[in-house]
Amino acid sequence: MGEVEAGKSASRVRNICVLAHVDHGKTSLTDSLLAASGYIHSRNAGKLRFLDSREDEQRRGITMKSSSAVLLHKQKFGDDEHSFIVNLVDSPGHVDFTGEVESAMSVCDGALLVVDVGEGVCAQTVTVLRLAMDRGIQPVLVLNKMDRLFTEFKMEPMDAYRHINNILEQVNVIVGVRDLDSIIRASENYAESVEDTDAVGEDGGAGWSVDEDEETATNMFSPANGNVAFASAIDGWAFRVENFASMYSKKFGLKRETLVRSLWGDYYVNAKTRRIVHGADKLPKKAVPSAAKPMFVGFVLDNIWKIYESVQNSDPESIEKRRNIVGKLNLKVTARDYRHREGKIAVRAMMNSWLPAAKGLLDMVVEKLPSPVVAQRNRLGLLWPHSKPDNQEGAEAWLRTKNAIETCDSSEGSPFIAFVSKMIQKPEDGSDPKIRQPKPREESKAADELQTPDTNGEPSVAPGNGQEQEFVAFTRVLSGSVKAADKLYVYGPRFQSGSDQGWSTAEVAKVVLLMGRDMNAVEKVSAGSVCGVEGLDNAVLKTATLSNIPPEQMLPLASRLGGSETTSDLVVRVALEPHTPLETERLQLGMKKLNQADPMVDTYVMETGELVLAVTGELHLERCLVDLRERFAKGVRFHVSEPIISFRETVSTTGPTVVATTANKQVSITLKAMPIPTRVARKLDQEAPRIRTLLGEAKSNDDLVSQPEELRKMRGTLVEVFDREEELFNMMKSRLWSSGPRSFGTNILLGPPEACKFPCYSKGISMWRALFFDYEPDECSSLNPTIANGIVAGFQHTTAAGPLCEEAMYGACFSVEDIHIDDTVVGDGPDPYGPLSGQIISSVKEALRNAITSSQPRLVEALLRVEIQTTMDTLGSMYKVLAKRRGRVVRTEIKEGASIFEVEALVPVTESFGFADVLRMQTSGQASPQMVRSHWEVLEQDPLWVPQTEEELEDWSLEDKTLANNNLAAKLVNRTRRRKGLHVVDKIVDKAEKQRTLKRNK
Amino acid sequence: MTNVAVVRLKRKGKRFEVACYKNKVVSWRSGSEKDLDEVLQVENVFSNVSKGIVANKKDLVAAFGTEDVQKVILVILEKGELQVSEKERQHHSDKTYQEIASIIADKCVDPKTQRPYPVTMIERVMRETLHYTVLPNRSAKQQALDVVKQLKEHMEIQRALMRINLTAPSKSGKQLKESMSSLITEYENENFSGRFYEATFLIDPGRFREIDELVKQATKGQGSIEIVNIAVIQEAQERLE
Repeated sequence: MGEVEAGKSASRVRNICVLAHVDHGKTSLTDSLLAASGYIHSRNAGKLRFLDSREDEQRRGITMKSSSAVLLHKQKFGDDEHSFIVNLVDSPGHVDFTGEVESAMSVCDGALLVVDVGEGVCAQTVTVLRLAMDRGIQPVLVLNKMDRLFTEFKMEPMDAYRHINNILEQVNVIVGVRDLDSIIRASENYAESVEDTDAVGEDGGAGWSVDEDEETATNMFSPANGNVAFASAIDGWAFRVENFASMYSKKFGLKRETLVRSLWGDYYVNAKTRRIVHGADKLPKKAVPSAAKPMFVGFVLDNIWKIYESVQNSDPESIEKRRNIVGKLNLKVTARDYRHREGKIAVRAMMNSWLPAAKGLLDMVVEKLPSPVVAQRNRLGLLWPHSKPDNQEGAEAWLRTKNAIETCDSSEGSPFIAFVSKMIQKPEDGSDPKIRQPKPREESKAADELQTPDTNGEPSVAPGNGQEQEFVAFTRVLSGSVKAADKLYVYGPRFQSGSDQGWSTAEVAKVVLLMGRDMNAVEKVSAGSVCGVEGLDNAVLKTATLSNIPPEQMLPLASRLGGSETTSDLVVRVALEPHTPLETERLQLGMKKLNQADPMVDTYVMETGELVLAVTGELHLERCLVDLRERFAKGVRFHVSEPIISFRETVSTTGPTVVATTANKQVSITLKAMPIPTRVARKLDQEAPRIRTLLGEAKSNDDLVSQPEELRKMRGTLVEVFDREEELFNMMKSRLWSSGPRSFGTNILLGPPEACKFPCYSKGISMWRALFFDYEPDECSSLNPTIANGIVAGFQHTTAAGPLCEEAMYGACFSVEDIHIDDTVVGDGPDPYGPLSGQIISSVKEALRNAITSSQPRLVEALLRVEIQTTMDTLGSMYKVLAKRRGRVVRTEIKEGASIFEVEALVPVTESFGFADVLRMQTSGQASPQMVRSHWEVLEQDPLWVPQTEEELEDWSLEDKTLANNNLAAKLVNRTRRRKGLHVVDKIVDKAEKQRTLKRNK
Repeated sequence: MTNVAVVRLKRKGKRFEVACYKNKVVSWRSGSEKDLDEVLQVENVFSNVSKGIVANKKDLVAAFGTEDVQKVILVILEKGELQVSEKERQHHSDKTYQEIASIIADKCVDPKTQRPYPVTMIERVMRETLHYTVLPNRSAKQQALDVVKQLKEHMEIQRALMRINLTAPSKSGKQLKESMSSLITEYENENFSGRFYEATFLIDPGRFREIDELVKQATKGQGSIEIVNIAVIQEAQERLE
């Protein structure tokens, strides 16, 4: 078979993906293409959904994972017939799986954009089209489900024409808006690009957008341009106006090109003058109204409608009609088929034979979509954004790589560069027949009817590394070629040119072609192709660049190729918990694998020990759980719950002083609490992890000084935030002692003022001081470290768990006002109250807690920054959802040229569960949020407030004086306390009288 | 007598009782119920509630020094013996259960990863594997220590270690180190140079007092111990990759 032969020439390859809104018929359409290549029986095409190989995909009837197939297509160009290889990637349409779509796109050069003519342009259509254009992927349009216009909507051909025209306009508006954007951007970039015309452009955009401007006209979808096809996947037909043009040019002796131009649009036939005229007004007035049909209606739609009409009934008259049609069109349809009583089958037989879907679509793909050679040249800036380096050596390597990618060079000796867009888990039953799962019925049928495609290459024997490989890397080869046993460098997404991190090496175990769930090993795959590479399980996490160029010379591919910053879209978070703790490790391992297999998943171990799984939506979550249960963590019983939300506590005013006296009355310490300005607290919060590592490495003062550079830098950034807080800073200068919780945090402890009679000092304290101020000599000997250490430890305790609900403190400053030591009370012998240090810790802890409660404590909650794009119609309901979730809109912007609003809001984490889903539901899928963790913010409500005056009591109901149900802050505090098993002021029974009366002899 | 919770107080050999609603007395005592009418069925003091015998004025005066029923009721409610009602018992045991679990989650880690276990997981193991029943008379902390012992048979768990920093005059350092060696779990860092012996080590939190005493005695008050970390746990969230 010619597959491999044809593959040798990259210009005979097309890598395309199928994009659409959910349920617009992507998978059915791919079915009909597969049928034409003989993988499935044409009778099943459109129903089988061959590429939906997962059980839950078949059950739900939607695609969840993108999967690919290789098709062979023969097309005539003049007299020559060429074979083309089409690598087809089917993608999911549901918004939860946008990540899958992106990974599908990143291996492709072109896209079939499928739109249901019944429904028109939908939310996800817009999203995927934009994504495709952002990636420089050339789309062609397929108007699917044409049969619905006739069978379901009962449209007349003329109405159908108008309807189709409408949809075309809608699609073109999206393209147009984007073009407008890029024109504006291009003009902004113009000045820069003039200076350096040679450069590819730093942002990878300059060179590209110019190209696009030239192509603007051809970017528009129009049947006359040949980039729009009309199809009905379920009935197995598809055509472009070209097909009809060829038909009629023979019949009427018209030029084919003329017909192609005039078959779509406002063109009419003037039968008398035998001329094609533009616009209905140019027709002679006498003409009968029926003649005033655009040519598309008259020549194309009418005919198709006739066929559909003929199958409405199965009386002899209709059968006769059908026979006529078959005869006229010279179709190869058996009488049994067109006479079939079931209209569906008859129409399918006739239409499929007249306008076979695969031919119509694949012709378009081959003609209109770029080959890898062309596409890689056009997209170079996007794929590989590097400008020429200055040094000689670098420039050579740069040029070599550039040329290889640009020309899609597959010759011997050209550098191998490939991109892994995702890791696919191998089908289970392929690797181990013992744990074979019963296949869903549909699928086993598929397997029976599947004619295994034969390939030239003998399945190459995997190098005996003995380890079972579980994943196949879904790979696009950009240049060079890959075969089994090749040793490659694997560059992770974080690799930067010249750095020594983020890369590893691996050996290719096997190179395969992907056919839905089947994999056929081949000997070698060359530039421009899509294939699967085995043997990279340990080297590749999700995406990677494969190459044989060593790291010193490697310039990595654009990292956004692998998808956007995934984490920001992950709005649904759940905690997974194994049923028995012994299985924690297995569950963790399973989650790791899931993370590898799914581009849109993130997995964490939280500080609390929870295993958290972050996904894009409820549907996605469901699929991930199925994956875990049945595949990655098989046999591990686990529970799913909402993750724990953490809060912080702070004070809002400077409170009264509180005295801490040790149990033996020897030491009394006067303390008070005050708030730290928000700006300072936020900065300390941001820098905490870095400082912690900096200080963690430094075990003593001497070490700290040994890395003065790092320290000075850190000090610079820290001191900067204090520029308008001089009072606090001056106080810190002489008195700063420590920071907490956990040795560094947002809370500050100030030592006693200089006037205090008993200053004390310790090692730990001077380390802290060194962070902000110059190194001071160790004064340890002259001071009493026990007391100081005790106070610091008490402070650390308190800041780690505040009095409201035992959450860590945030942005509070505690100052030691005075220390009084009375040695007279200490008698001889052991202290009955235990060691002094312990006494100080506990009394300071107690006093600090009192200081907090008497300085107006407040709860601090985490906020998420939410970005929402929505249309005018749904703006109202979006605001409503935000308001309900205590969201605060910080920015609203209308996008130039389109009525799309960009709204930025802050939503508390507490309210974020289910937010994405509610928002989607309320706005009929128009608005979907992107959430990122933003910052901590004080909840202004006083959690301890209880209504007291008459008015307050009247405002709140008199009934509910505890306000547990009204005071939000109190509610959150109580919820957290209850979760932790802390004491909650709570009535067990609310109304004594309303308890159920129990009978005595029950 | 159903639906009545009796609070009973014996004074001067006499029994005094108050008739209350069920599930209310504990709330009253904890201060969450402030409305006396919600607690009392009848505003009166009885010598026997079930027989309906009201207490004698003379006895009241003898026992409480007043015949003001209001005041006596408050005393009885505060100090009297109490029939704990079903919901109150349930509530108490639920609370203790959670408290035990959260103490364990706070103080213990998985020795392999040095990360804590989530509270919910510990609660589940207590409930489903240990079938642990709360003892109403022991404090949550005591019970938590017991539960940890039992948990060790079913899962990998240990108390999170405490990291302390010792500073002592260098001459007593060596001797100190020897005497402490049995109390210390792990040495992290040592520094003999200079006038001071400095060391950081991990200890079982239960040993802290012993060590503190030891240091005090051995160095005659010149050495000191500083707590670096109360519970050494793996900090910060981590990506599973």
